[in-house]
Amino acid sequence: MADALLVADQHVNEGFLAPGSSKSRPLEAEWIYSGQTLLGYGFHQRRDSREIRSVHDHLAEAHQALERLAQVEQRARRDRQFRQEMNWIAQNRRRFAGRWIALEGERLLASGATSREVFAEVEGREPPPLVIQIEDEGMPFAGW
Amino acid sequence: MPIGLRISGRSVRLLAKVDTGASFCIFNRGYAEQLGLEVESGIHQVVSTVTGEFDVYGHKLTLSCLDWEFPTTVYFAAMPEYRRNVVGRSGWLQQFKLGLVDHDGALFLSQYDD
Repeated sequence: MADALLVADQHVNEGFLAPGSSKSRPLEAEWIYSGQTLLGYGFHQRRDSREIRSVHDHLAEAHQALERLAQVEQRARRDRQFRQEMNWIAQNRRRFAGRWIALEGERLLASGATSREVFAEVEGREPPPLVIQIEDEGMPFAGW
Repeated sequence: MPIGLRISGRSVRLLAKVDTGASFCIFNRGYAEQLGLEVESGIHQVVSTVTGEFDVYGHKLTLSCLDWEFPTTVYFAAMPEYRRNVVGRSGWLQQFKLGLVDHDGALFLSQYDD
């Protein structure tokens, strides 16, 4: 759990880990923090037990923060895959100019003369690979 | 621009050029066929270019782009040799606020309502 919290600390702007996420948050001086690395992130205990927030509140906010963390990780995976695909295309453009290809990250799954050929080879893959016809960009484009 | 198209449980991923001068989003018909669409059953439209005209057919589906996904109408070219996928004003650009710094190769995008 501590690992997840520390990672969330780096990426999550909202949720229970974020500073100021608790609307009724008193002065920081009143709080005892449970660990130096979580300073300022609401993972704390109050001296006055009458004002300790309910466990349910914490769990609900933790759930939201973890959901957000999962979204951040999903986005990072997607962006990394997109960068790999763009790199592959840049490096192999000449070799595959005019051909249809199916890519998943930096892995070429199929290539062919038609989209139908390539789609047939990657049928049923989830999530779907990137399928494009490689343009020969040797000639400048003049617009439509 | 990375684009996803989805309809009836089938989906494709492709790349498209952002074309602020294009009226519609237009894609190669191979994507429609992979999605199980009959291209010519869509809304027929003739689009003009500086070098001539060609036929496209509009279909309603779900388009995804980076963090966003929305229902929209996109068009597929009737001619199989149509190569250049473009996202244009109707169906894509009107959903976003777009900034472009071509010198840096940077494109900034946020949804219109954000």
